[in-house]
Amino acid sequence: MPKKVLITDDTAFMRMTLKNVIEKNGFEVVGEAGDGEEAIAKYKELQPDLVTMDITMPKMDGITAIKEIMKIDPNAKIVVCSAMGQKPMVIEALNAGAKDFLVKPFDAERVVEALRKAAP
Amino acid sequence: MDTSEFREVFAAEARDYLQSLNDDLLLLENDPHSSEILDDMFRAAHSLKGMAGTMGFEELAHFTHQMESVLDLLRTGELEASDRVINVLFSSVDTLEILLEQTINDEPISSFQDIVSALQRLSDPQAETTETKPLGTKDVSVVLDEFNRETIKQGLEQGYNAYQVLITLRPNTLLKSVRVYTIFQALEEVGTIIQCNPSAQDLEEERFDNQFALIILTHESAKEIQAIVEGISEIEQVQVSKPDDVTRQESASALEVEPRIQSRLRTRRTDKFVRVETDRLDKLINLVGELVISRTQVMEIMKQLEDSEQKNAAAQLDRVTTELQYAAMNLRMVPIKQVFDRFPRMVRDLAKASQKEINLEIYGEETELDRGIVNQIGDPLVHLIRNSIDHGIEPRAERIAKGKPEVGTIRLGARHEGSHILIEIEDDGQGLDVEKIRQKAVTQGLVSGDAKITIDEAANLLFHPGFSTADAVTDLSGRGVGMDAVKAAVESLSGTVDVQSQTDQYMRVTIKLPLTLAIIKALLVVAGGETFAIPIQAVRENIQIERSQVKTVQQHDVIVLRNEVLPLYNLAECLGFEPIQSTGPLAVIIVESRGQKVGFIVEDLIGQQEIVIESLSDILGDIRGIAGATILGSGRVALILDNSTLIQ
Repeated sequence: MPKKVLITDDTAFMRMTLKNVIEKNGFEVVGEAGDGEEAIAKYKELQPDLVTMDITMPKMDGITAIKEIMKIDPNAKIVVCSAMGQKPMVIEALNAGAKDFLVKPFDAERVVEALRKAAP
Repeated sequence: MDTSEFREVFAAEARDYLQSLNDDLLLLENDPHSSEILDDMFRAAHSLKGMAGTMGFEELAHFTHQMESVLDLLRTGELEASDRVINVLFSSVDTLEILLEQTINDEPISSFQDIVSALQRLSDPQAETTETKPLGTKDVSVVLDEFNRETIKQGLEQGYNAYQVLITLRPNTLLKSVRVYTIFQALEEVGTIIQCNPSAQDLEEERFDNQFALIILTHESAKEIQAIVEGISEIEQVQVSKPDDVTRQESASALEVEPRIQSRLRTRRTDKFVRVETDRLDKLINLVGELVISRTQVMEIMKQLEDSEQKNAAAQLDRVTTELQYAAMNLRMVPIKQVFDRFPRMVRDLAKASQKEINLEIYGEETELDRGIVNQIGDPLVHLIRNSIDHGIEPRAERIAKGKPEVGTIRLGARHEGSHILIEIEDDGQGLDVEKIRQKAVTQGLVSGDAKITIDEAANLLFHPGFSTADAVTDLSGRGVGMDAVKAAVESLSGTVDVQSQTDQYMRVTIKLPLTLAIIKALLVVAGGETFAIPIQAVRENIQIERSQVKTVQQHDVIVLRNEVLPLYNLAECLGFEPIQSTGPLAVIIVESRGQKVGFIVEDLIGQQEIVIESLSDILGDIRGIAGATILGSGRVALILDNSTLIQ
């Protein structure tokens, strides 16, 4: 059974790139969310094994979303995606419960490693 | 593990240790075999080393380590505390002071190779100089400091495992510091990280290649630690091993009593005191000052009330505010010990330099006074003590010839007297040389050639600007700054200086200072329609005179008061205001500064009041004649007059 992944990013382009890499490496993308609120709703609905979470998003940012999801499911496996220079936010996300982090621009191998290590 | 917020605490505590090392060295000089002193010094150096290591201040830790090695040899009796050794230790403490300040202020660290070599030669006479570890070394294995070694030892006793974990990140890792953070986060879940190399701060600021090492105390096995780290992304390689340092040092028995003593010291240091930034204290004190002023405003409104319940509430507010005010003012008080502490060392050095034997006696060092005064009284005292050593205490042979004790004595002390503090510096030297002072005064044209002067008059002449009797400028004092500078400094603190002397017996300088600078009693007067405050200690009296009593001498207004002719000025004019003309009697304030009395005509007297001094901001800078400002009960600002500059 391939692991189910929920992709969260406010740009369709990034979601597409991620989906492409993830599906080529034996994961199943079960849903996509464009902001934090949507991510929470989809998490409840789809119960994915893994979530990728962008930090800067409209409506609700990634860090708040991570905190909310961790409340719903303390065992949630979230990988936070950040741009360069967002070090404090990444640390905050890790403290909120994210398992690993990815730095844009994404390197396919890193994405796969992060997902594999977050949900072995 | 961000240590930057501990910097201030570290600095303050480190300075304490340096002071205690200095004090101990002075004691050691007289009692070179005291194991108590040596133990104390060893502990101080050791604690300092541990603290510096924790902060990642490598140079400081390294230097203290060298010093500690020498102290250890002294302690075990392998090295004799000879003059040479003690001098090297004195220089080491001086070096440490410089090193500490450079480190704290992020200044470039000087090289102290000479003194480091001197220490190394003492601790290992055979060793040819130095294999000092260069900075930025490639060797990343953790070198444990002794404090952590102890922690590990205790951990092992309690059934923990200690591992050194050597981690290599992938070469292209982004946000390395965050990666390190995830590793620390994962490992802290199963154990305690004791130490890392490079330091936590360097890791956080990404000042490392791709490799770092850490020591962890944990209940997990080496295999599990390995698996945990490998479960994290971007790890190239992990090596988990036993830190050989620990096992190697386990037999060192000298360390066994250490942790207990250290923890005892720690509790004693932290229990009763909290270190607070002075800025924060000042903020609090200023706010209390504001509150006191609001209180006055509220009380004025309350006076008009009839309701007794409201009146009681107001009275309660009044009382609590007053107490709060005193409590806050107390926060400004510090023991004068802070200033006195540096003198034993200074006297020792100066006495040696001038080949005199001098004993310094200190009393009343716990006497408290305003922090603002403490910070400024140091230099005048240094000057006075230098004077005593240089001009006061005679050379040994001369003392013997005079039948005095061979060893000279300087007594330095402080005590309270009413709302003042008295600081006395007394030496049993040659006292004032009245004839020499007289001659000097004659050449300076201060007294006529055949005039006789008393010893008190001689003392007063000393305060005359530019007056110095030193035949030659020595390294110790002279240099053109004389007693007049001391007097000026003390007067700027609203204090007075008094000199008493007996030829060939003693010279005593008494400095009288107010307890606090923050609140003063002042006389409020009106000039040019504005309210001004005059510090009460400068006001001799206030009188009412008829216009007819104003006389003119050489085109200056004067008044005659009890057979004394005093110059008379209009305060408003002095301050550049248009004086408001009135008829009828004149209100005159007699103000005295530096023995000179002057009368000022004012428009009205408001009365005496305690005022909180606020300094004028940097924007306004120093304004001649104005010492500061205060906010009155009515909310209006009144300027505080600086009587000494005003008279000039």
